[in-house]
Amino acid sequence: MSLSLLSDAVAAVRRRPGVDYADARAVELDAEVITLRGQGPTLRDPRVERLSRDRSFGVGVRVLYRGAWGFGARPGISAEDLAAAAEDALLVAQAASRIRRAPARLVEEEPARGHWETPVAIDPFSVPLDRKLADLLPALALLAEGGDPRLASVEGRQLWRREQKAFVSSEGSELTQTLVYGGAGIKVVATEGDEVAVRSWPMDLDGGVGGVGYELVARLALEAHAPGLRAEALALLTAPVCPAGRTTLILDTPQLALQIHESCGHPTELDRALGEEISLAGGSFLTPDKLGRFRYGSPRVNLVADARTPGGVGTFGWDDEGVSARRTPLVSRGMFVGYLSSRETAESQQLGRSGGCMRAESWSRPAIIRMTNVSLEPDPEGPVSLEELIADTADGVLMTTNRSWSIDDLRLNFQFGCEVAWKIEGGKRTTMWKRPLYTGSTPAFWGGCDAIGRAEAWEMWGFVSCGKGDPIQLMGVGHGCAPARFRDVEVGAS
Amino acid sequence: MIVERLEGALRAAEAAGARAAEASHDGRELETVRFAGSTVTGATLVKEQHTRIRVLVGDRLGAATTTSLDPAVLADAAARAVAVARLMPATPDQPEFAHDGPLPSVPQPEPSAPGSWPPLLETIFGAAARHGLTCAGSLTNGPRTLAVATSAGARREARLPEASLSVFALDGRASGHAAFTGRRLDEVDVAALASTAAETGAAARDPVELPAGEYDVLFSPHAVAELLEWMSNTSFSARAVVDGTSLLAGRHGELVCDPRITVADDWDHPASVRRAPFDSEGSPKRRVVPITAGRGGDAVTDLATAARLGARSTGHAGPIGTEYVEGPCAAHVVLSPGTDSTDALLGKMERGLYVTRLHYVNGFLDTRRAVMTGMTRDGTFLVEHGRRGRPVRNLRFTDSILDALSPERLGGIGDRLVAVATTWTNLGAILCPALLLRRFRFTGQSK
Repeated sequence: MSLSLLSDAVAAVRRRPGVDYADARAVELDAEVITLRGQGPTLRDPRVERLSRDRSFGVGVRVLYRGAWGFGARPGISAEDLAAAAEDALLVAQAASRIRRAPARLVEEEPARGHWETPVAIDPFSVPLDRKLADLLPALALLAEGGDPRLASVEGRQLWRREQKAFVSSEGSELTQTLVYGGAGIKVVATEGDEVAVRSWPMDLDGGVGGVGYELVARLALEAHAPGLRAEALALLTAPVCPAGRTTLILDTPQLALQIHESCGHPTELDRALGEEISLAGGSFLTPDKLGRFRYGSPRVNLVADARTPGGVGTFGWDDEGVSARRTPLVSRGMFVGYLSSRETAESQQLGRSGGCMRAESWSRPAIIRMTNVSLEPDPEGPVSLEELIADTADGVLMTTNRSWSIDDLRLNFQFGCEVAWKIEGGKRTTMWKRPLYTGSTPAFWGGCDAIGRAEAWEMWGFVSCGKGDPIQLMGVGHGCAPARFRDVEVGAS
Repeated sequence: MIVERLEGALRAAEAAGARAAEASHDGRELETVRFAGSTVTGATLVKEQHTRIRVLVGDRLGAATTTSLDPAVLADAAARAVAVARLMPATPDQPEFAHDGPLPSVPQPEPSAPGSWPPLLETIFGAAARHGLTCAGSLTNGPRTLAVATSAGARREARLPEASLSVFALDGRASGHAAFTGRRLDEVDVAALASTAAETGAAARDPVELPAGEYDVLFSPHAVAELLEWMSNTSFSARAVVDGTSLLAGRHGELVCDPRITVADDWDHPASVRRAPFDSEGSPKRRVVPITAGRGGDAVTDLATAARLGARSTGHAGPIGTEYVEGPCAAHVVLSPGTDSTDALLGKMERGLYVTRLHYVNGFLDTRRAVMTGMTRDGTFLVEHGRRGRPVRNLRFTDSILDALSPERLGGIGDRLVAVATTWTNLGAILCPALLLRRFRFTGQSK
């Protein structure tokens, strides 16, 4: 991937009258997706439902023309592709400039030069496909073991991506990066009449993903979890439904990661807070007038965005504006203190510097503000494990593994359904409950957080399907957390 | 013609050792304009494309994708697909790729030219400003090209213009919405659309708060479309029926809702937009009816799911270029209209709500009963004595849509179909009318 090709293209479009700024990004993306599925007669002989090796490459050029943005993109990484993308960017920027009210301005950032790579122990693209299948099949066999007719399907999945990016800006940045992320997961579905029970590990849809190499698969211990998942899925079919009421709720880390994502990550996106995402994703209750003044949660709650966290899906060297990876506190001792920002939004809100959060799904999309790794910091005085947290809880509910998610357009009222819940009585897990859900309003919920696990209980999770933008872009983001407890939460069943 | 490039990929696959091959292409020249605060926040013009090559080596299936139509790059993708196939276990019931056959011709206009939208946005911003509101939203425009070639002889190519406009008129928390989904930007009555959004936004100022509870609700077509899309994605695929998770599983011919409800997937409906007569495997699309006069019906299939069922594909293979749609999917869901105008439906309401749009609906709560949750947004109004009145603060609902469509709760079906773009698959569009549902369950508020 030639930086000089990008430099030439950027310089050429920057010379055009009215162009204030330009940058170009070339991306080569390799992806591998494996889905194994056993269903009906193939339950105990899962088939490869999907196995593909995907390659995508192209260029995107962004221009600022008389204060209006334009972006063009083309498949291919040649001088002609770059020139065509630049012309397209200029065409739409010129149209936009006719009705843009105020020019976009960028906060100063030092141009950067360099290279960054995700540290991996085992390159997932060097692992043969037959080994990848062999790492999924034993777990699926255990999920289907016993031949219970109520077992409807078993599924195993792996997803790996490698992005090689080059970025050049008219301000002098010249950067290359190689980002690797991915992971694996398993799922079992049991049905009986109208009852459907799902158990997955570590979570459905994206599975367990990280900004790491193939070493993650062994750490996920899919085989070790499979028998328990099968047993729980079958038990859930006849389990009582989670009773409705207000109670103490403990969230295990896979579900808590999604809670953080929806109720902290998204509302702290500054473009959302400024109303720029209203059309699809919505706005945010964390408006700029609340910065530094609003109590988001209890004093135990500290939430931080950090693009340097080892092993995070949202970890990188520089964002797609060439801003170096950095750490931004979002909530400090319960107070709302920071945003996920870009050069433009940081300038408009006089934040002093960009949060380094601009990323694009691919070469064919413009960068927008995305979460990096938004994590709940561990409490050094908290319990060392989930079990210790449960033991410290007289009465309540433990929920784990997301099944459904919904939150309002300001990120206030939410409702999450989980795959399974357990009653907590006298510090012990007792009755299993099915179809549990909990609902609340973000500040009240986090205001009721009275216990967070210590560093020993802290785990990094991630999602590769965070959707935002129009057209929608899917992005990989990370969330680290330890199990946590929340008082006076409304729970029930779907 | 893109099919010619795909034929080259087939030859490359054969040369690499495949006994059969399929090349499928999905490309767009997509112009997108986003606006907020009545100013353009970004404009993009993107040429993107995905070509997937699937091969059979014996009974082993392999696949690879690329974003280039360069013959050398396609040949490399074909070789990758063959390499993948050689590593796969044999699957004796692996279906063959689609054969050729006649398909109806679907004339399409040329798309609107890029960069032609500023006057359109000026009209929209002006309409909002007259009500003291600002605008947010997006506009898309551009052609989409679909093409498929198989070694069994299928040759398909279609170029579809796609255009959409989504407008929000805002004043703080008050918002109104109107949208258009079609083929060209000049098909939309911009002034009328802008007025609808602005008048709704203006009327949404100073909402009152309603407690959670059961209310009769008139859902606009845009709100109905979101519920239908979730129902389709969780229940209309043969994959979900075989799994037992679909609301259709075990209920073929059984009454599942009011007999006035018929839901089909019908790409050739006269009001359908964004339509091509074949799917991403080259199979001809057929009309499938998951709910016929309230009774459980058929599911949509692709080659693999059809083979498992011993049937013919209905032509509903999912889109290529995405990892998140597995198995077949409906793309042209049509809820048959009824006979009631909007005013007639309102006239049936003594006290209830009018809902313009929904936000963040999730249909995974209980797919057998189509239990869903979500929020109202962009214009929720109290209806009293048959008239739309005061605005209401947004509410959360959690209810079984199947139960809400039962004879006891279905209050009426609108007489006008509206096309609404899909959000999950980006294929096709949903056609649906308004629906009046009785005693709909609201479980919380946005506060």
